[in-house]
Amino acid sequence: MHPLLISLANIHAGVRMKATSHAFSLVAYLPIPKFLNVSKPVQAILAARVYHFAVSIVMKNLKIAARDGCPMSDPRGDMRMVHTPLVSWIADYPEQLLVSCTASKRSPISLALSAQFGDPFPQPPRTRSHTLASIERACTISDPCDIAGFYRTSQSLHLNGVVEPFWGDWGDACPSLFLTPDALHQWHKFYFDHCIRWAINIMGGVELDRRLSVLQPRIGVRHWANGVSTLKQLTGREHRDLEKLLPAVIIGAVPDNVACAIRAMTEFIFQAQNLFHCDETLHSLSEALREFHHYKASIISAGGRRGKNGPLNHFEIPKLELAQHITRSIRAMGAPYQWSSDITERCHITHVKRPYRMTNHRDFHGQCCRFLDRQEKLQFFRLYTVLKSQQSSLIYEMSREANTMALHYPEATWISTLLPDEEYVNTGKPVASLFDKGRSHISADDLIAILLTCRPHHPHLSIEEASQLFHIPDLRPALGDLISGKSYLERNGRRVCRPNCSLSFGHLHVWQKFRIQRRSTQDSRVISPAQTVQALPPSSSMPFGRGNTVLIAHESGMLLSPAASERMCIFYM
Amino acid sequence: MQTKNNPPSFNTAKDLRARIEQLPEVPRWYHQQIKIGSYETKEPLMLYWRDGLDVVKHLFSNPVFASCIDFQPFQEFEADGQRAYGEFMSADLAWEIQVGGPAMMSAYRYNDSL
Repeated sequence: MHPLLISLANIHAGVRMKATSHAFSLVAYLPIPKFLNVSKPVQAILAARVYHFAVSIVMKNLKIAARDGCPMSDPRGDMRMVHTPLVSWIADYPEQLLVSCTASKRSPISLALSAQFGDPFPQPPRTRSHTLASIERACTISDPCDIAGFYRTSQSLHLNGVVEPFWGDWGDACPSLFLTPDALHQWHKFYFDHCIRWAINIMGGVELDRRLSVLQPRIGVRHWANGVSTLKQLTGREHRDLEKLLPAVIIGAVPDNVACAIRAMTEFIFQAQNLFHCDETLHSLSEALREFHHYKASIISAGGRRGKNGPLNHFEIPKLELAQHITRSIRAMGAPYQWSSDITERCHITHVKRPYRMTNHRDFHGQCCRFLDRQEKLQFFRLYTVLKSQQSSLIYEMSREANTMALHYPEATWISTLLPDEEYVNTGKPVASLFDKGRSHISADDLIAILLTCRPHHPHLSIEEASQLFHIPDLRPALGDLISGKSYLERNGRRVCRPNCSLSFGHLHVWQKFRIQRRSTQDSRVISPAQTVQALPPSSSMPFGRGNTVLIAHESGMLLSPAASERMCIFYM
Repeated sequence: MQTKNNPPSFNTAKDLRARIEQLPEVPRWYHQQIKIGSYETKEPLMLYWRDGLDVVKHLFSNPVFASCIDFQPFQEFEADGQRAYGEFMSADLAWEIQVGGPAMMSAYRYNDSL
């Protein structure tokens, strides 16, 4: 089954990208055609034409509304005249080619040929008028009904043989814009399929695995005890986790220039996921990409590029070409995170797999539709009955003091204001953040919340006991330095207090772990997931204990810790 | 006790399903066969679909989204005057569609379907 989903770009990205908000609705199950007794190229052209024809049927009225407008009721019940242009089509690379009517091994959004995929500069965009003119030319050269002949003409014009693209009469929809960058496939999967592969080819999978396996385990973060080099497939989450590790673990095992190239690519992927972009971040984004291209030759000379038949000496990777157009896309379409296919992959489970399991697996399409139809009816009925039973208005006015998580879970928040004590099924319940807990310690700038357990793990230890327990002989002078308030730089990185210095206290409460949560530095309404930081004392099973690394920025913005690699045990008094 | 005093309003699964079917309509499903000339396919090409416009209307009228929907394009600026690009409605395309549309259109507000 090939599901086609639709949503509104007006809905805020944070909400739209949550599967629980039901901002994406299923509009069609497209057929996946298998033609009998035809050659491969003919099969491809016919399948592409079926795709465009089917989408045209579904979108017919939207195209009319894009041109003429259509009166619609908005979420508050007011009527508005609405136009519905096509603004984004979330798809992976093969589907992007299919949608843009481009032949394979071309770029769906630019005029680049495969030999130009590794170029350090963008090619001109493949605009709507260019593609439509090419199709027209192909039709004058050969008959579109003679598929085999039309295939050759299309190939020479870099087309896929579709004559009537569904976007041709949908306002001014231009594939070079509406084919938006897809974070999941273009960056995260690319990173795993290429960047990590380069590192493995150069340093050897065994060494990479060893370096990953000796990293300290952290709660809530995947630990790579068995490495990655033999894994074929990972989840998007794991791809993202690896991006945070790879540049650090390859240092020293690959030539410096290779490390620079991979670091630059990582930087590019991190920067591209910003919630907001401005001229400055767009500039550093293109600089990161430029840096990668500057150093990329070293990956080939170190033997990093390898195909099935031995070493490769080029970078003909379509996703590298797509990366060249990200700044253009951001200015036109907004931050790319909102066009990631994470949400459509997720909807594949809720809109295809789950309904399919409810069927008897025969002629299941119709059964799936009926299932979804009933489910949707129930969803609204449930909301309606809750609102009616509370004699509440059917119009949602979000209260100003609504907590921060509320922004991304409008339905659950609405219900919880009406039924504060009841568990409401079928909506994602917003996880309470540490910022909302009374016991949390919140930083003065309200950006960080820290939560400790009520009772310390080691209450009321004397300093000597604590220093023995944690094998930290210089605990007393270290505490003295901390209390003195002198920064690391002022102390020249040395202990200033004497080992027997006197402190104003004699006992400590020691916690072995705490939970910490941060607000996004870009948008303080967005809260990152909570993390657990551990500092476990040495024991027979863990001879060195465990101390998670923490980077602490001083109010002045300077780092207190001299290097990210310094091992720090965290104590709280 | 609860169920005894307040018996459910249905007796059979079929009855319950029939009641669900009676609930207010959501965009309805259609199906149709697609034929491409004389080419034969392994299975008939069936398209199961809903009218895109109906679905958009349905999404747009969902009261849940009242607090998180933009009705018109806008531009955001950082404190130092730099343009910031975040939500779709804050970027150039939405703005250009609004500005560049036919004269009659600009009198209305825009909605953009994905």
